[in-house]
Amino acid sequence: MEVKKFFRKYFRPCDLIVVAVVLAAGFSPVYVHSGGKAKKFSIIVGGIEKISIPADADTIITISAPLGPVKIEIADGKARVVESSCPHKICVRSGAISRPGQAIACVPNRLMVIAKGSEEKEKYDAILR
Amino acid sequence: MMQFYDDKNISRARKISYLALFTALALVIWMVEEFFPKPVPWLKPGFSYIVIIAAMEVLGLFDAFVVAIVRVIIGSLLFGRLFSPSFLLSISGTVSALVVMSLLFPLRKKYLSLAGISIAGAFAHISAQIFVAGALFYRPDAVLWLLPPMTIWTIFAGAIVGIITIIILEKFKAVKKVSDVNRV
Repeated sequence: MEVKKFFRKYFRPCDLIVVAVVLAAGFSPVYVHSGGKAKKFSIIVGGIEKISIPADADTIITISAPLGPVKIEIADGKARVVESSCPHKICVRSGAISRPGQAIACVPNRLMVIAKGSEEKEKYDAILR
Repeated sequence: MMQFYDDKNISRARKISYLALFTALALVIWMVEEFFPKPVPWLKPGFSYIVIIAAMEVLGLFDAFVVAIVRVIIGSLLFGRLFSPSFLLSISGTVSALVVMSLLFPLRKKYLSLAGISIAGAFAHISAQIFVAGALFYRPDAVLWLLPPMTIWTIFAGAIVGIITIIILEKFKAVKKVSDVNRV
C-alpha cells in the first residue's frame, strides 16, 4: 500500500505514456538495425585475400595455410572452420559467423574468415586532417 | 508558482543574484557528479537537473534556460573542456533536454508530474549526446547500440531526479503542498 501511495504522490497517469515512449524510442535500434546477413565471406591468409565466397554457396573450402590445410565450411549463410592444422583449434571452437563484421581468426596460421556485408569496402575507418 | 519573482518591480540586481545562485548550485552539483566514481563514464545520475527543473518551476522557463546553458559553459571552462568534444556533447544534451522539458512543462502540468518531465528530459539528453557522439566519431551505427542500456538507466535516474526536485520544492515552501507542483 505504501508503494501505491508513493506513486500517487509523485507521479501522474500520463507519466506512463512518457515512460512508454521513452522505452520504445530507446529500444528502437534493436529493431531498426537488424544487422543483416553476410553477403560474402572473405578468407585472408597472411594479409592477402585468398578467396571471397558468396554466402549462399554451400561448399567446403580447403585453404593451404602456413601450418597445413584448413577446412572451412560455408552452409546456410554461415561460415565455420571444420578442421585446422593449428595446435589449439581455437578457430574450430569459435563456431559460426553469419553477420557482416564478424570474423574467425586462426592466429598460428595467420588466417582470417571475415563476413562482409553489402556496404562498399572502405579503406579508412576515419580520416583526421 | 513564480514565488521568487512575485514582485514585478524586482530589481535587476536581485534577479541576477537569484540566477547566479541557481547556476552556482547546478555547477557544483555537476562537478561533484563528474568526480564521483562511476562503473561506466556515462552512468551519470544527472543531479544537476534537480536545480534546473526547480529553476523552471520557480524562476520561469527562460531563466532556467539561462541557468543551464551558463552552467554548461562554466563547467566546461573549469574542467578545461571548453570547445572540446566533451563540451559539444554536454551542450547538445542540455539544450535538447531543455527544449523537451520546456515543451512538456506548461502543456500538461496537470497530467504529467515533474518526474515524468524529468524522465523525458533525461532521455532527450542522452539521445542527443549519442547522436552527436556518433556524428563526431564517424560511428553512427555502432553508437546507437548504447541507447538501450542508457535508456533503462535514464528512466530510473530521471524519476529519482524528479522525485527529489518535488521533495525539495515542497520542503523549501516554494509550493504549498506536493500536489501543487503537479497541479498548478
